[in-house]
Amino acid sequence: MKLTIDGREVECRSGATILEAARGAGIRIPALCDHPGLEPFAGCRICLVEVSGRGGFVPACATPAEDGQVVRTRTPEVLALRKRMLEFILAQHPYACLVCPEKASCDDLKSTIRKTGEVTGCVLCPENGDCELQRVADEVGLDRVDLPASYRNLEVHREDPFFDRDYNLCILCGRCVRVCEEVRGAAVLSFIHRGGRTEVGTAFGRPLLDSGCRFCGACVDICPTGSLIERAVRPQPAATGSAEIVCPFCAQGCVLTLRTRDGRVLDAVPADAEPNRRQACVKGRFLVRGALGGAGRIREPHVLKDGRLVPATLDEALDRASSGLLAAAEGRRALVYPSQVPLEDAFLFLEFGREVLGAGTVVPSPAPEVEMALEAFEARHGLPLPATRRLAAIGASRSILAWDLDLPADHPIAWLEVVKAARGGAVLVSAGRAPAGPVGQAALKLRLAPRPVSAAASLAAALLEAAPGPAAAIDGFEEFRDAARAHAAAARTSKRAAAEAARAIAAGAPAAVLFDAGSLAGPAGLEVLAWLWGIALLAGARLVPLGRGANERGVYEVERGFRSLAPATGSRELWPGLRAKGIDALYLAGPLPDLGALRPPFLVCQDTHWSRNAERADVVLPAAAFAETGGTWVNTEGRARTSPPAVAAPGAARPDGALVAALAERMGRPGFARRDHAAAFREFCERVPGLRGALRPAGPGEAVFLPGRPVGKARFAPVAPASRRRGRRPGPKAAAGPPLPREILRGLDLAAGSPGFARTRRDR
Amino acid sequence: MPVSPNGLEVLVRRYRGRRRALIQVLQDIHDRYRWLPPEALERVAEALGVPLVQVYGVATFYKSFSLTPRGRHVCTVCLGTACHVRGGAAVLEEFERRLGIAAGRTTSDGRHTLERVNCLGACALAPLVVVDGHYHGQMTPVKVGAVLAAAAKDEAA
Repeated sequence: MKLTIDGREVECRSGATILEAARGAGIRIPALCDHPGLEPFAGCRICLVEVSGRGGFVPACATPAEDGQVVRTRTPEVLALRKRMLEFILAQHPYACLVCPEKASCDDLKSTIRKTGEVTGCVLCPENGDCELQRVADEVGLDRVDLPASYRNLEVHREDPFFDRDYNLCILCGRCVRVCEEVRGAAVLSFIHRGGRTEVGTAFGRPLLDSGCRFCGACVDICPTGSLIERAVRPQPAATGSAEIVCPFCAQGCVLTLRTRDGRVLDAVPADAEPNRRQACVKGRFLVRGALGGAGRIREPHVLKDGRLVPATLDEALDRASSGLLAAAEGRRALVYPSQVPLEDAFLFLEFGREVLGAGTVVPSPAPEVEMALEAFEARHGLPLPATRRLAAIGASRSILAWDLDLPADHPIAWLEVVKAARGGAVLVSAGRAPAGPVGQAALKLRLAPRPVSAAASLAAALLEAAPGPAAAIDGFEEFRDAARAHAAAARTSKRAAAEAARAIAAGAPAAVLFDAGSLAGPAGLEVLAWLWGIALLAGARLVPLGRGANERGVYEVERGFRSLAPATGSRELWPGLRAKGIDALYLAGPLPDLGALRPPFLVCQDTHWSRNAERADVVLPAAAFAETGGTWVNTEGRARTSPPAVAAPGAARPDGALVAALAERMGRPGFARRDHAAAFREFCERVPGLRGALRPAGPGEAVFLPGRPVGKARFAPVAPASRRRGRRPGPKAAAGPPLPREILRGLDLAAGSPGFARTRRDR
Repeated sequence: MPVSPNGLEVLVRRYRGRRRALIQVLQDIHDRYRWLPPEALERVAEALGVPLVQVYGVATFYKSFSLTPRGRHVCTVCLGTACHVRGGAAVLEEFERRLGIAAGRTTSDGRHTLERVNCLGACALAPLVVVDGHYHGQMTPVKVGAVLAAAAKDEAA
């Protein structure tokens, strides 16, 4: 499509707005309420332009570009009107500084830092210098406001964690209202009252905490003024550096921009990169700084002396660690390595475990549970599960079955895809709890209690009624059908809810079935997975497993590669060994629940944060945390990305790889500390089919993915026959240990480390 | 009238799942209770599938919805341009004096609520007062007593 803007011929895609067409051609039209990623709103009227053949002025952000259109963005009338519009907007925003003739030299002239609770001008505003309203005022060239200033004198909201809301600075552009509903699916905010009293707020003016807010920070990042400000950032000076790192808090692998100054992190904001595209969640947005610099960091090596842990030099600690580990017999040594570290470090741990430690037991922690479930499924049924890993596949679905998930909390970016699909008309079927907000409100609900297997079977049976046909030719169909009917007949779940859900799933192609390790928890987990796979086959749906821990997918693939190259001799289970007192020395670098009485005779803890286990260790080694060390991270999609070191590690903390290499050297393997470790890792990746090519350097912006697994001909997995004895529960799996806190990063328990975060998670 | 879950259910039932019926259902609730109790807004949000904050936004937008309990008799005094120039302010003052409350308030016995509006669209009748849905045109401060007495008589009848 071609149109003319300010005398220039401009090309754009059909369906684009005039504003998008102009931006594409590098023609700047100022705008305040418009934002990429939000639907057009036409609220601020700053982007008004003239279009030939149409009387008056039209907002460029909400007017579709048309072939042959002639648009003028800078006529004297348009420029004057823009100024006038901005004046109306500024009448309720402190504007003295914005139109002050001395503003360019203000920083030089200002002699004192004034301390005040109220922002009455830019010089007192935390957003000063980084404010869209300032930029637009400059662009529009406003040098005076003819309307009387009216200060609304609204109470500043300081009752919620992480950020304050000062609606005295709000210009009612509605970006926060819209991002909360359109992108995050929360709809916690709206315009309240009317006319000159209009303000943004929550229902009944309640705190965000009581309004269903998830504190993702999207409103803070999208606000063009200083209304919404991260509390801790308020008194900070400007950043001097920045780095784009991979978020370590969950398996989605968001890219965050860390702003730094003097080697400290000021804040973390979501980057405009895949997979998160300017979005994050409460953890990535607000917990990064605390996780790096907060209390509880292990800064120095420690050794146990006379029953007490005392600071020591690194040499001393490493000597103690190596002699203690060597004192134990080879088969009675164990290694727990962290999965929330770069792949290069995980690789070193694995190599160390096999070649140096000769460990009888090597396990990752937190365990990559969903990957292990897929592996166990394959082992049981000889059937590699054709899993779809790309999150974008969720957004492209017309119906989505979410099986026992807390999507907004555990899988925030997958949740954004669900919101996108739902806004496009897709149906969400929520088995178990439904998320708060309009999308969850509109979801069809399925009860999982008392037995998830019965609920799944009922849904499968209902699907057989709703969509018989295409799946009938797939191997194992008859057995699956008969089992589904037998289970459903015995189930106590609502037939009506199952039928309604089945009709929605059958009608909404393509469909997606989402699950994570929590969906498969308990002894019947693999049974549930077989049912979900059957449901996916019946509905022609994609099966989308979602990982929970950062880098767990990558670490799992590296570990699998290790096994394929050199079959493991030792055990992959830790707890049976601990319980049988078969472990004399434990090198503990990943998080574990309090070992208590199961603590082995010799314990080395290598961690970023103090934990119960570290406090009771023989040796404590301080590890560099995520943003302090570079390396490769792979998200649940298999998307690989290199994360650079952004700040220096505190105290004597060293990257895990360096500590492992130093320990290996002391244990008589000097060759282990290869100089170019990253190159060795890349070489390893080339030898492993599952990793081949995944870590080749890509061009800027080019996504690199782990290759998918080969899958055979689809067939139903056999399911256990319906049991007459309901309520029978098999005993707990002996191999499993006590559960870890749900949200941890190595030794840091996020809820324990951040009271604000704990408040946002109180319903869990 | 006390707000009961059953009473609300009767009002909300026929609009279930119909987002567009929001204003209608709020009007029905308002007609019955003379105000919009918080639990009613929550129930409406749930039944219609509209986020609570948006229900609240609509409820605060319209002057004809009250979020505080209102008296049995609602006296609305217009102060639009026409009513204003023809002495509406004096009429309002007389209401305030007789009822002993400021505009926007309800008497402590719950009998009267006094409100001012900016236009009722019947400027030919200015100054205009509406009491319990009855329009009283060409009002003067002198007539206020009679208008209030008529309302009291309605109640007794």
